[in-house]
Amino acid sequence: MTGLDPRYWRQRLGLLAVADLVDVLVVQCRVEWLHPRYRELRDEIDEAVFRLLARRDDVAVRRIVLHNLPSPLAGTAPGELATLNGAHADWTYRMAACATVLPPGRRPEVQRLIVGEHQPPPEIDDCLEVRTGTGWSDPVAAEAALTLQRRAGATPLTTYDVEPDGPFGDADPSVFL
Amino acid sequence: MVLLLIAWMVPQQREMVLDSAQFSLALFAALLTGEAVIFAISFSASSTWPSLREIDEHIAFREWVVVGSVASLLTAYGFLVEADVPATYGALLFLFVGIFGMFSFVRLFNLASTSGRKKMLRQTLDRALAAFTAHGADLRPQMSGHPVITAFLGQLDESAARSDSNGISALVEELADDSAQGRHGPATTALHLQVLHRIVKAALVGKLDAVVAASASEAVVDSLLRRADAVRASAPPRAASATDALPTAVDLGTLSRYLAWLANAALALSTRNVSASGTARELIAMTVDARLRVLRLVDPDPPNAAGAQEVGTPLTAPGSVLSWIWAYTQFHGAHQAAGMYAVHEILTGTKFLGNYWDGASILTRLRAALFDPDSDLDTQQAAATRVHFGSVAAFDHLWTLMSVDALATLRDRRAAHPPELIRPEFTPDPRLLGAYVHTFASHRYAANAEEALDALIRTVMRPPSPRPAWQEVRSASDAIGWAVPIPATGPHERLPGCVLALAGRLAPLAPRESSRELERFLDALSPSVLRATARLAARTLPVPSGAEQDEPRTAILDGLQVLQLVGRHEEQSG
Repeated sequence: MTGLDPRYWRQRLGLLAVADLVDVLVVQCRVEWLHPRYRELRDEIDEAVFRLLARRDDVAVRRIVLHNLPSPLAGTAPGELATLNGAHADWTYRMAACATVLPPGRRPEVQRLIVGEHQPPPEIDDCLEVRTGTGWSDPVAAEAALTLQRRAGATPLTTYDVEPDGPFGDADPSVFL
Repeated sequence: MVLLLIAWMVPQQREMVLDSAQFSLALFAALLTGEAVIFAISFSASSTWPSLREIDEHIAFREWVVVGSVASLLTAYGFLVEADVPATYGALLFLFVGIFGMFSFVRLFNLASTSGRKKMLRQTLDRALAAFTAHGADLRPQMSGHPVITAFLGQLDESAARSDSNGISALVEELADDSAQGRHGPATTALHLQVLHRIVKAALVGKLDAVVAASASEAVVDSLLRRADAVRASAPPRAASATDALPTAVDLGTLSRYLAWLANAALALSTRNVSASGTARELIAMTVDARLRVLRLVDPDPPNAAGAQEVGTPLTAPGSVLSWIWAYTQFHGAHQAAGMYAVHEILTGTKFLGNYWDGASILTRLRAALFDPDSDLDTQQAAATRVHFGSVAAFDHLWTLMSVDALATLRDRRAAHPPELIRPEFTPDPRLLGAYVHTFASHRYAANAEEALDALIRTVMRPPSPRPAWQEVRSASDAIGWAVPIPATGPHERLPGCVLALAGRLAPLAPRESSRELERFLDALSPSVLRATARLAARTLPVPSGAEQDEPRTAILDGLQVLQLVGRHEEQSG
């Protein structure tokens, strides 16, 4: 499996600056996103998306990511799967936390594709597509992604798991004694 | 085997062998009885420290008895079959056993005295600690099941439960190594921290006497600081590679963070009458003093240095001193504003000449000196620091993350602070709080609400950079972090702290400055996070009680006015 192409993603991020933007669709379902070497790129994309939402309230952002990693995962050592799962949990939490900070009207809609046990990863191409007044930047890719998301099981990312007050021990450190 | 040869060449008659063997057997029996008596007097069967196995290893008791048994068997066999060679060999072996027995007996007498026992136990502990080779998160399982460590800690718990001051001081002396030549690995630090925590916990919620606990914990802290000092003495004066200084930085950081937490926990328990206020007082005094000693150790040029032994620092690399200050500023730790002076000197090689009570900002100066195009700072340390950060954005991001952890763990102001627990740098004085918050709030890089919101998103989404360096810090912290009960929490899990960290960077620092950008920033947030931030502000900053529920935005604005208590504008406007 080839790696991710940073040039494609950085070039697509430039589309977010368009004035008549209406919709943004970001699909990031490949397991490579969880590797440390793509962390910087992933952070850039996340920041760009949230910055867009912080600036504009007339754009709808939809993201499609994995809910869980395929198990067993081809091409990984046993310890590596635990690391990838940790990275996945961290990423999911940070997305939810950042969404919590923004007002309800400015949050991305994040759908998480559920991968059944012993099933291969979903066949969906990662992409970043935008819809302006003239339509989707790549209508075929956008339609494929949206269709797959409707057909496969997907659960939305909510902010319920994010504790707004932070860890309990901050308020009362003596609990750790 | 020499003896076998002699016996082969010169076998003796039965009578002579018999006489010799009788004498030797009598000596053997006498020594055995003597050892049994000393055992019975000096060592208790139920004690696991020292366990019989350690004693046996020290005096070679088992080997001695086995050789004696073999000798007597050989002699008996020789008599039975009327063979002179085995009988002679047995008798000669008995002579050897006699000498061996005397040696074992003398060693046992050494053990029966306190100093001998301490020496043996210290060696046992040293050997056990040196055997731990795991790194990172693998160290804990390796240490948890080890019989020597378990026996030591068990003995410590028992002495603490009986409030046995002699026992506790003996155990701490066995752990602390005066010569500072003992093991320096993470296992040693982890054991020190575990011992410290058990003593302190026994004092706070158990029956251990406060004075004993305070002096024992001071001894443990002393031992840790001596080890770090040994690193300082051997560290080259210029910036070394990050990996050399990192274990020391993590040790000192974890210790400092633990001490700050301990002071807050002791205060909380004392005000709730769970612990005696005398105990809390002793422990708080110990922590404040210990934190100052840590600071003087890290400071390359501490004020009123007593001599060359106080000059220099073990944390010569930028990554290590940054990881130390991140831990040092948590839990409202004492002397944290002064700690920034040491950081400035280590990162730039020059002293910061301002005074934070005047409103001078170390971070602003650091930022300008390192990253301003027209800065004229060109020391070796500054060059290493610029390389470490890479960009001013990474610098800003890192200090923002640190301020999140610092602000989120400030003490609860709403609880009473009894006068007997007030010490310098451990007071409810709002001006001191203002100084601590001002350290971070004066670090300004966001000009308006939009930039602050971008910075907030970055604070939540991104870990600190450079990533490989901070991975190493994380791994080193994992090796010993389990020894203290405080969990490692990241800034992204503290959303109110993130908001407050950025709000502070927009808040007015002087009475006539505008708070418009701060208000715009707060208005752009979700109501739930705004309310949570107001709750944090009400807990940690001087805010009228109840205000956080009615008007969260105003509560935050009021709380951040504590920043204006620092700086000269008071006198100018007054």
